[in-house]
Amino acid sequence: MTSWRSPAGRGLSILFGPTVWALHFIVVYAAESLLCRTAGGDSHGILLASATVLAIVALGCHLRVEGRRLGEEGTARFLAGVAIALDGLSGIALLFVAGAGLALPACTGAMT
Amino acid sequence: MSAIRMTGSAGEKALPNPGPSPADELRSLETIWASPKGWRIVSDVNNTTIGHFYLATAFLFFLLAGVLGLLIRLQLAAPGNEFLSQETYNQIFTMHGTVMMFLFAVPAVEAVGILLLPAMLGARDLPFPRLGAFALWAYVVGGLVFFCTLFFGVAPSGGWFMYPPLTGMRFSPGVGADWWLLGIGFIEISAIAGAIEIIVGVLRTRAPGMTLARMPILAWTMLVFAGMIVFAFPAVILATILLELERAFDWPFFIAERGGDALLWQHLFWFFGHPDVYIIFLPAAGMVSMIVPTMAGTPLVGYRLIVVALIAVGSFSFGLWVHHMFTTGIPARSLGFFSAASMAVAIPSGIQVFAWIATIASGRLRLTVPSLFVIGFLLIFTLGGLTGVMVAMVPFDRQAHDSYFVVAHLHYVLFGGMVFPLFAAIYYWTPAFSRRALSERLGRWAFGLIFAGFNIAFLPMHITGLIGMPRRVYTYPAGMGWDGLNLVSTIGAFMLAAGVFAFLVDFIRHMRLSSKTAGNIWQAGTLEWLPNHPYGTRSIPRISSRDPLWTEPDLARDVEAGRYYLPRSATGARETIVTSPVDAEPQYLMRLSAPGWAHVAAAVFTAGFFLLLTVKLVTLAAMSGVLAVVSIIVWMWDSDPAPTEPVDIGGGITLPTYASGPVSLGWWAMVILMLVAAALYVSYAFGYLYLWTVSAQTWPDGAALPGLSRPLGAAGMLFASAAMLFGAHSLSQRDHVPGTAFMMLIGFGTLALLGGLALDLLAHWRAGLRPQASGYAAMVYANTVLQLQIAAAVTIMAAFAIARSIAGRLTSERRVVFDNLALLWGYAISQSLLGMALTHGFPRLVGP
Repeated sequence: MTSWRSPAGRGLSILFGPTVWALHFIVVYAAESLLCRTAGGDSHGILLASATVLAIVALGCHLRVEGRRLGEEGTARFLAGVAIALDGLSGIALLFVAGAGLALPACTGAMT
Repeated sequence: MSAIRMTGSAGEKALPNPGPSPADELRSLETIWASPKGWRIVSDVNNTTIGHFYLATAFLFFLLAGVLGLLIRLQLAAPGNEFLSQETYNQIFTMHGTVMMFLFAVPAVEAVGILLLPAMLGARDLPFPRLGAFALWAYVVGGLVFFCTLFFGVAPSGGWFMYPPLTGMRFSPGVGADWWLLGIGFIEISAIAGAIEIIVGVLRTRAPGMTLARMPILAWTMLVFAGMIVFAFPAVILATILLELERAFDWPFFIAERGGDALLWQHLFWFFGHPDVYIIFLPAAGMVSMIVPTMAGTPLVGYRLIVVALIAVGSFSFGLWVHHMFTTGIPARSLGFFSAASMAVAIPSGIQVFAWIATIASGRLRLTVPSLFVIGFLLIFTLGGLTGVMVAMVPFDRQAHDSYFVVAHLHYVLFGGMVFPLFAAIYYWTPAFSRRALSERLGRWAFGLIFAGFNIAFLPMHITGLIGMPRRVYTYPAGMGWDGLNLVSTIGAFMLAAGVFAFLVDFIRHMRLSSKTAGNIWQAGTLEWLPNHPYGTRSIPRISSRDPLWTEPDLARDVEAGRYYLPRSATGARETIVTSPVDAEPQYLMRLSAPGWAHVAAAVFTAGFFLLLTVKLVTLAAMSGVLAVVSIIVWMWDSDPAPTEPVDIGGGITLPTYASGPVSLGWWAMVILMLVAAALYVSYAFGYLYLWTVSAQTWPDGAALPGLSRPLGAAGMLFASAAMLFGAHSLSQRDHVPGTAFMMLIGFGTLALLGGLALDLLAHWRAGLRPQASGYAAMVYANTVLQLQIAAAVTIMAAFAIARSIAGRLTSERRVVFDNLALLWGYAISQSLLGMALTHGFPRLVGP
């Protein structure tokens, strides 16, 4: 019987990039609501920058791991390619979000 | 696992079953897979029958909602028109949107999946045929009753997004909103059932050798589509539960003056609503990705990039929900996050469009009717996408919000992105099921009228909106500059309707369902074009490329001659090969359900429960609910057949006929169901924390909170329940399961779970908290409602497991029923503990 565990793990690995993007998004969005009630806007800026650096590092590490798998054959190579492209797209989307955040003030109403 | 050997210099293959087939082999397949005749067809579970019914029902709702659209256009054709009253208009535009989104678009793409996927994947059927049939009949009954509310003047009238406070009891005291909340909430459950079947089907029932890298793009899109349903639909299910609790019992989740917040609804609704746009669009894009290569006569350009784009769009679409709420006063930086995400999603969407264009450019496109609809889709959807980027810009959206510009944009995206591909798909795949293809001549008329009519109707709406006409108004005064544009839109809408009529004429004249189909008239390369029967293909091929019919010219002949895997019924029952999720290597032979009535009764009674509850017939609703549970138990009793000896499927492959644990499909389905439950609970936790951010002043201080003795006692009972779960699991793995001890552990463990939840409820009640008091209090009791809902399911499953154990149908080997119970039981304990930590811990953490 074919072992399903490691190939399924490889399959799930392609979702690493979008998952990092989603976590970054949730953290920076939810933190604005929470920090603006407690610590103020400056702390959100620091958090946004830190979360972005952390997320980019995580994507970079994953990209390296998947890059090594590009040398494999067949489905493994295909999945590695998908994972790398998704890491890249997630990185771009993440920088979009962080860029918009850094360009706008925290904790101010939309109408101001 | 042995694979097919390639021998000979000319690539001659050693086929799994090369010899002549025994005479009775085909006849036994036909007998086992025969559909019931006459009216008994209702009891059928075969994916082809269910898929046809599903698609027909969805199309019926498309026509009905289309007629409502025409009524809207008639009313707006002239200023000051009195064709419809204000209330009737409100009901009609609400039902037009609701029916199109919930009763047509999502079910239609799910129907295409149910109809096409098994054939496309080389499976005999989807893995849970009765679940698919249950989803269909629940949808048919629920949908038709819901639509009929229009004829009695009691349809919902608060818009398809049902914003409170307009839809709260104060401003909508009738039952219209309840019809929406209970009727649509219930149909979403049906959509989730279909999604679970599609995910498991795509990942585990592909033909041997059809690795993820060789899977047809439509299967990828259906996988992403179903995955998105799993995470998006629970948010709106939670929202409907909360609003119905508010309406029925005065729990003020959305009433600002009592510590609730109407915007909570918008957050939950759009967390579902925006991904829903992509839930509808992605499968349609998958259809296009199947049609374009065939019509261009060349493989799809950028297959891997399209897979990347699908997953990226599916993921990023969850970060866009606030772009429907740009004018609600959310802080500027947060708006920036959502605006940026809205632009980021355009990148993967663009990848798909360029891949289609490149495929067309690299081949030679035949201008058939499906091609015309694809071209129409490309033009209209791209325009809708561009206006989408415009409304993703906060400053522009401030101007266009709630105007007809948005109506134009959403129709360009949804009609262009989903309806055009669906028409293309119907013209393209009809020859796979019908004796005759649809007419090219009538098809061109249909396309021309629909394309021209659509643009004449909706292009002017961009301008109508930009010069100030608001949406959702039943009439408007003359002299605003809107008169002529509205009249043109109405003319276009009727032209569009004429195109749909031409299609209907074509369909009625030429569609003839038959086992002798027109066949592969387009010379397509994927498996659904193999000769197809109620049992799928005669034998199950081994796949070695993405377009097997192009790379292996003899494939159809060999498959039909029974030379590949499983050319017979190996166990005397309906069955399909279960393969590994990534490499698609055979793992076991799954026996599938035959036609029956229990799942039909379960669907009818489940619908009855929700619908009777809407009209406050509580006793009858309760009876219907009990009958639904009984029907489900009857349905499930035979669903876990005993293992038999391993069977030979050909090519030297011998497969077991039973699997448990992570290899079994039941385990996969249960894990996905747990993801649904987790998504629902995360939505709840979001709502709980959200209300704190907007109305912390109504939250209790430490003295008003329950003391810790009862919550700690409740936690102790939950841990005791967990210990009994581990005990039962340990006993279940012994060769001879000690029945009495095993059953007692299950029984007492379930009681401990219920007891823990009851003690937690008592703690809040004794502390003087009442759910009507504030948004906070309502949220605390909503936690109990959600926990009890899961605990009730665990209790029923535990009783079922005990009954099967007594009947000798649950053993250490035949154990899927217990494995599934254990999964949900463990999940229920974890979620209950998390809920207690949230409701007792968080107020202490942030309290004064």
